[in-house]
Amino acid sequence: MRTFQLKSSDNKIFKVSEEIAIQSAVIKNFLEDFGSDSDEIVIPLPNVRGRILEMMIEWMVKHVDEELTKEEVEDWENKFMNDLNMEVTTELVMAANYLEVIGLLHRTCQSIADHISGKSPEEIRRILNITSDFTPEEEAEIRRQNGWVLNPSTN
Amino acid sequence: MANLSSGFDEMGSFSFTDFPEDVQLCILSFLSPSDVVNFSCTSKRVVSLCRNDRKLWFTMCDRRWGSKTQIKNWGKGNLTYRLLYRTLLQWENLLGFWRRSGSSSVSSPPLVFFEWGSDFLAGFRVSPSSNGTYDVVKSPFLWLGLSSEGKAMGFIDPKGCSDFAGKFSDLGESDFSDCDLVPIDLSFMGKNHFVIEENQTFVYPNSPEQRKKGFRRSSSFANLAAATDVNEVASGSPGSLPDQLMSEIYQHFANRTSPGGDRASRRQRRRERERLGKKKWEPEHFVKIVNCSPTPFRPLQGLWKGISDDMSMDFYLVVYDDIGGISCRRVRDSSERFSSNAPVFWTSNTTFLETPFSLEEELLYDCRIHVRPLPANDIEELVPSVENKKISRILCVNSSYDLVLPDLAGSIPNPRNVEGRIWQYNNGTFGFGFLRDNFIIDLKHIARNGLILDTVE
Repeated sequence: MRTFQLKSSDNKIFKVSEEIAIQSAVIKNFLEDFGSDSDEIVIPLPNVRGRILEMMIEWMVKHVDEELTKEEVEDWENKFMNDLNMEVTTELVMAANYLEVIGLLHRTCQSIADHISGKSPEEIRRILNITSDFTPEEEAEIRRQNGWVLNPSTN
Repeated sequence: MANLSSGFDEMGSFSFTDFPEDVQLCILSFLSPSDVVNFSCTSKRVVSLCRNDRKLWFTMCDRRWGSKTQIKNWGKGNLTYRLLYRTLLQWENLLGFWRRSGSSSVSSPPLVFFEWGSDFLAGFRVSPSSNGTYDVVKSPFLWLGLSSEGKAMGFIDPKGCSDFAGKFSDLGESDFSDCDLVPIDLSFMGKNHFVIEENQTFVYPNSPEQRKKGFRRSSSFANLAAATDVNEVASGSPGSLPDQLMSEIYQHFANRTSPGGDRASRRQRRRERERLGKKKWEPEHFVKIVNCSPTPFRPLQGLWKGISDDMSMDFYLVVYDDIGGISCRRVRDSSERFSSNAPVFWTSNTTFLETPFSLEEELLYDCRIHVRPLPANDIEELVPSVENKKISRILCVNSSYDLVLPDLAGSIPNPRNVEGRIWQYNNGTFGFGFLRDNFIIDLKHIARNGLILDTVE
């Protein structure tokens, strides 16, 4: 099994096996294009800082562990996500999107969605750092127009 | 895990609108429609995203059902995905087992199983085969899809002989005079009950008459989930009521609803005309079998199939009651017998005997033979796995209620006549037998992961 080194934006080096690294579609393509048999290959990841990369690798290691059942992996994922604050989750979303780790991208997106589920527009603005550019009248109008989503009798 | 001290649920300096659009959509796809409404109220920038049907509502549909059906093919891909989302949200409740209810003159199998098709939902009549194996006969019965105008369209195949296996759009446009398909309306009455009625005013989407007549069907489908239609059909099967009574009922509605009275009386006249016309397909009511698979706390629950000592296969439904007991009944062709017949086995105490078992219990099991299916294509049955049939737990059951009602029975029956056992195997399935018999009926799953097992056409 080949191993590679991943280098974060803050110059931290992580050694990973090929099996783990190719969960990232970007790294997989990179290795197919430039891969050699050498273990010395270093893949620079200038958009991901060390702490985030470390967490991504932790995720990817768990998802190649054949000892674990599907339920055990799910339990682990839930615990992994619960331990993160929104700021780190956001960084993980961006890193997973950048490196195309689809499973992690979806799970982190779901986590953000879970955070705003059931919340009022004001709370959602605060959580997602969205600045309202509505006047109160405009906002009331939007709410009225959006009635269609829930009301099956209108089309 | 890294020690992330910050407990804030905020993104910090980063904003949602800094995400690339496909990431934004990915996040939104995990929200419910009501959450999307709240979200769309947050700013002008996100309103436009939430109004983009091809982006937002496609992603919403794809997240929820994309692995099960071909989202882009429903209604020939001409629908708004918002409409598709709303429709599928209601229709997905059809998935699984339903049982025909009420008196019915039809002799077709009472069980119907719904599953996803490429651009439709399909219902199949499901019945035990009679070839002495675990094979299950699955015959086509019903298709539900959307026209390219977004109207709900349903068809049934009363004889179960259609060989349709393609796209719903092809079905909707084919000529029905050949294949005896009947256009129908399917109306929900609450969540776990629906009724199918023949749609006698159906006009094929491409026929020239369509523009003039429009779809009557659309009105009843519009309030699919609402109970507003209940009044019309609550008394059972309207088609079987005497005509005089039906007229009175319609007259009542015509008189009562003054703004719609004109329409109602027109409808009444139309129905009377229809009554004189071709013979109607009798409406059928179906009730959902809600708990049709085992759970960790209800390991025996659900629909099972087993072969009796006379080599006939039966479907069994094991139901847990609210006070911890279980009962098992055969699912037979006649719906009356299904609801009133005596249990195959029952117990009020579902505490299993765990290993090690007493010698007596070991003997009870060892001296009985398993009823085996006739040799068939099922290789697993030809070479029974010893490991799979290893007993994990034993439950004591009774075969009749007589023992609890000795006075009514007239005498106290011999316990050996009613006492039995359930032997639960390592693989989660189980067999049952009675002290009076020398055999064990092993039960197997009828369906797993949304698919019927061992099907034959």
